[in-house]
Amino acid sequence: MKRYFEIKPYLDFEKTRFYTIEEVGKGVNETDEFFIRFKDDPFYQKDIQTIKYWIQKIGKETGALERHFRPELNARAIPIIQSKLRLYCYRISNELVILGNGGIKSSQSVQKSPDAFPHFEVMNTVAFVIQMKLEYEQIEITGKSISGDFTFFIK
Amino acid sequence: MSAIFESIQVSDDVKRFVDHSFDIVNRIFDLLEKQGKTQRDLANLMGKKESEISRWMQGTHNFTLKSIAKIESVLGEKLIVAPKQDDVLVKEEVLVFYKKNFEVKPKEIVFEGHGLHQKRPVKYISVQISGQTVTRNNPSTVEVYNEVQGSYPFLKVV
Repeated sequence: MKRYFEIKPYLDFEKTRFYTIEEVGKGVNETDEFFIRFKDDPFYQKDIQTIKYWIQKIGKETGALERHFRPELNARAIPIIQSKLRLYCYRISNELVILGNGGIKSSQSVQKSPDAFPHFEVMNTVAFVIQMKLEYEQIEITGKSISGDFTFFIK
Repeated sequence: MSAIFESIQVSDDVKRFVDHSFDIVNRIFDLLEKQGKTQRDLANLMGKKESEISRWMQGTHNFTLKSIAKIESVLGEKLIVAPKQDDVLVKEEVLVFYKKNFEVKPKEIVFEGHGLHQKRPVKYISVQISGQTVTRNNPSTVEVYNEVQGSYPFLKVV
């Protein structure tokens, strides 16, 4: 079954603009869904706070430098060291990041982590789709802005 | 802006932790750049894998004092400085403002009473700008230009 998504603006700071993805008809974007799920969980509260502050710091102070991210195949993850929580994203440039959803990476391999793997897969598809859209000039990037076709689907 | 994102309250200790981690990482990068070294060079000098150094550089690594000491040792420079009691603790921009607008010069003050008439330097004088201490335990007097004081009514000499 195809799942249709749209890329939407999420947060805008001086150095970096963050976008998110939203499944058509779902009514909530993937990144908000991640935060809603974990923000009040006492076990992950500090990790969620760290992720929020890290995003703000990147956005306001340093920009989304490659070295700040944890590689996750073609996608990236926001690195909370010594935590099993992962928020997947795709870093386009220092000025542009697409945030996705995330979950708990319960084993050494993400493929064996049922809570995180679907979100890992979606974000890697987003990475592929963005690369294709750029190659075929369906989207254009200028500084912190993306213009063009913001829709895509995942099989 | 996402209302959900905005609703998350970040505690002071989390902010300090991420700030410290970023500050240390930025300091390491500045030193590597200054010394013409790469992340891989640092890994080799420390006897670590480059992937481990990469993880340290992501901005949320909980550096131990041992690893900080090791990095300082191989790069030959300090990464962190702990304030000491007599240090002037002040943000740089406040210090620039302070230096631009105020003059500090040693001066002896006359103390009188009980038949005494002596001159000695004043101790324990401090100046605060916007609530921030710019001098502390400084055996000097501070002469504040009247016109400056008039322009900056928040200035307190305590």
